[in-house]
Amino acid sequence: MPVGEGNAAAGVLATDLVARISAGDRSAEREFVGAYARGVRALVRRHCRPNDPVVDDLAQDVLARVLQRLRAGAIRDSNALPAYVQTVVMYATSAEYRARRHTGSDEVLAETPALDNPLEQLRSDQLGRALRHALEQMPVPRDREILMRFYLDEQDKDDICRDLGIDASHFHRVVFRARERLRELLLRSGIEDC
Amino acid sequence: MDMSQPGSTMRMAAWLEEAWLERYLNRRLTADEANWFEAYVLDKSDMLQALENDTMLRDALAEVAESSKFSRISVSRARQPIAPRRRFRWGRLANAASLAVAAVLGGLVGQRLMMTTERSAPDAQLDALLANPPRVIFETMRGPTSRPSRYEPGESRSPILLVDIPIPTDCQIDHARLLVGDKIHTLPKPAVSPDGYATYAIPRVWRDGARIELTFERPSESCPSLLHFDLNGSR
Repeated sequence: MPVGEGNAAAGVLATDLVARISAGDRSAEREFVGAYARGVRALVRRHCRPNDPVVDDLAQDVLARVLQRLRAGAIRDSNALPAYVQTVVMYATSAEYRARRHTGSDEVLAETPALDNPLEQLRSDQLGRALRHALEQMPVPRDREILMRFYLDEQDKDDICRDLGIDASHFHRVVFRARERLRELLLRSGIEDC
Repeated sequence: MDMSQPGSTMRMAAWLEEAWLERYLNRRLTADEANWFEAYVLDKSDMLQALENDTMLRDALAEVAESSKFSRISVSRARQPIAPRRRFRWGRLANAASLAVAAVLGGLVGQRLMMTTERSAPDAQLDALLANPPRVIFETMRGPTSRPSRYEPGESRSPILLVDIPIPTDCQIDHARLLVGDKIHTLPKPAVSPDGYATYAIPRVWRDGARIELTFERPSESCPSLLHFDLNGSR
């Protein structure tokens, strides 16, 4: 059973896992990676710029750093593990962008292929194309603008509503529809089974 | 649910998780709450799916935006309140520029104005006009002479035009000048924002004929000796 699924048995395993990794158990390390890899990647991607090819490398880096600390016995409280992992994600992503400011490596990275896995790359490309098409087909430019401002400019909902002269219900409708549209696309591509 | 224990083995009730998730996706959580929630969802695949979908939507929007197929509806950033942020502000010049002490020259309001970010005697009328100035944005440098990437119209009565300019990494500006016809005005050295942009405010009436010229200290391979930013064509 994977660690951290949120029941008592998982809790026992999580506690056990921290101790086992600290004791040098390599299979426990694999369990840790299995349990946290997806979450780490999701958070790293969320904290990175859109479509940044560095996501997978950073996610690996985060997992490696946490493992290092676990091996050293620096984390003893299994309940503290998720918060620690999240902090390392934040630290790693901010350090990455700070470093780029000094090295000017942004442009090089922008041209770097994102994924090593060709199947994942293909799936991502197809889904991206479908979603782009869906966004381009939005009949009201203002609705697309709402999404752009919310997701890209990270503007506050109230500001968007005020600036564009719309009410909150319209804002929620547009964002909700966009999320639903994405969900449909995911379902159609067999990615999401819910 | 104790917010200090995201690693707790007990899960929140489904409706509560939904509420947290919705607030997180709608950026309604404080920084501490968002950090806590991210730690909470780390190993919960059902909730991660919602996060991943939302990020995927963001990334697709970024690609659409980069294609420049659609023009954006412009509203001044100056009217937007500055909220505390926890995420990176990536690439949007709207968030990048630091407003340098600006030289506003000429007889726009019948006298010479010197605009600074800290004016000692705020003028309500002027403030109203300056609240939403038009903006010319240079997103990339294209050789020694660059042309604007974007123009945001702003308030039509505004006497001020803001110009956002990218500054090459690690380059120190030696001189900044504004060339209008055969006249040359010295501009103050701008404060470069953490994202590498400087913003100048110039009289709006000069938009069509002005050029900003920057010379840099210690030119090198990565740092040119001279850059021009032509405001012509900023429509």
